[in-house]
Amino acid sequence: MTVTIPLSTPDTPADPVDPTASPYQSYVYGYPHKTAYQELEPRPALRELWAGEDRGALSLYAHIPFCEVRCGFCNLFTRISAPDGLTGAYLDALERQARVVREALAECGEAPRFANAAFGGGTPTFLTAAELSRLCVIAEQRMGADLRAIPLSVEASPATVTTDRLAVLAERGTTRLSLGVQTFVEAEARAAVRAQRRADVEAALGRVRDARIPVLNIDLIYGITGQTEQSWLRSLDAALAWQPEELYLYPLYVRPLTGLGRGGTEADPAWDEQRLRLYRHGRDALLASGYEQTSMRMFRRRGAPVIGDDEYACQRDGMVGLGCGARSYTSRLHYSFDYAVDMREIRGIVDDYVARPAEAFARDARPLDGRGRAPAPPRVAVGAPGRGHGGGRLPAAVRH
Amino acid sequence: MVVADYRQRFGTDPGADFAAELARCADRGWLDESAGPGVLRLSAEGLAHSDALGPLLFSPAVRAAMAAYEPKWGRHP
Repeated sequence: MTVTIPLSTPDTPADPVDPTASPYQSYVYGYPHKTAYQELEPRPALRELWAGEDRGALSLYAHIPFCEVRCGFCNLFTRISAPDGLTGAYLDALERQARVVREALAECGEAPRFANAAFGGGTPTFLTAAELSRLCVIAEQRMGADLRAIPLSVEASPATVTTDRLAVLAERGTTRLSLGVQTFVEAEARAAVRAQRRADVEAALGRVRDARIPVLNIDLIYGITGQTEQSWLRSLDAALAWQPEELYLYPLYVRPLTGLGRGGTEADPAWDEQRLRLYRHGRDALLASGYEQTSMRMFRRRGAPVIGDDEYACQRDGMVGLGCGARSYTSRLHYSFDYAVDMREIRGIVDDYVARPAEAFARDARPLDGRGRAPAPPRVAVGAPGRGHGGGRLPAAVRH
Repeated sequence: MVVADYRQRFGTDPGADFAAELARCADRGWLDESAGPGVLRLSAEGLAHSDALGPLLFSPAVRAAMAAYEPKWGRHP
């Protein structure tokens, strides 16, 4: 799961269908956007939120908000590196949360059943092999998700997919590993992503294939400064050489507060034209290479195993999110902790999460932070699904 | 999208809820006209413009809440 920051100019929205408007307004992968969430007062308990909900095919999502480096394009909720002990303390908090959430769900009637699970971030493979193993134990024993029997998707970066981590993930039942390669061209990686050597990326892909996880996804980005049809094709060919079951082609967005965003986020018709041109180029290359297109970004190799339901099922069937950047979806309400893109704010939110006692996960108790003062503004918010125009009710929000 | 699924979930017809928006998308050639009346599907051009088409369907309430996010929480310089 990813989180984007608001539209570039949300208070003066361009008419998106205006032929002169940018084709790149907003990546809509969930609705409503997290920035539409509101605080809800009084804050209901989790069991009230889940009462009466169909809990027969839930998604479980665990958010791991750590990365080794901050990629230039990235606006995800993640912090860079972790001081000694923070990842362990984070998993302690996640386990406390899991226990409380499971209890709340169980109070609503029959035990919830999880139909699929995902670890996202951040970079879940920032965790050590032993920590990944513990994360799986929390998902299985605390939440009751049978990871070996359901689809389990894990996001990873080339530098962190070590053999020992992959062995844990494969053994625990990972069915899909998504590798954030972004580009195979080293100059493009330096410009928009992070310094990475082609040889290291290839070695990482080799280790993933050796781990025999059924579905490999490779993420690639187009629209990088200096990227041409030829260099884009080099990345696509390099990815295709691994015959990944899935490929995601992402247009580059430059958003506020990201590394690239410091250069400005104004409209740029020439850049729009470059992205649209590279998109068509990439799409045509993949369609000609035996892939089918499932959405603007997603391509699936024909004949590749289809494991689990489609990606949007979580919004229909309900999702339980664990971790400080995770959202949860019931049919009536979407809720999450607060999130941020700015590094200092992110560190504060992660620290606040790690310090939460169990009772604070069942109903917001507005715990004080370690310095004995109330933590910064809204840490949790909630929005609601509802359909678009007309019926788009905006139910409230909730702290949890 | 299967129109019947939408109707089952929301109790209304997407063609009625989003008449103006769908008409404009059709004008731009973003809808696959061969999909038949029971299915709403993007054309190749519609897929290419997914990131413009999606925000068109946001409700006014969601749009307003998103716009209020930055001023309210002051997250951005």
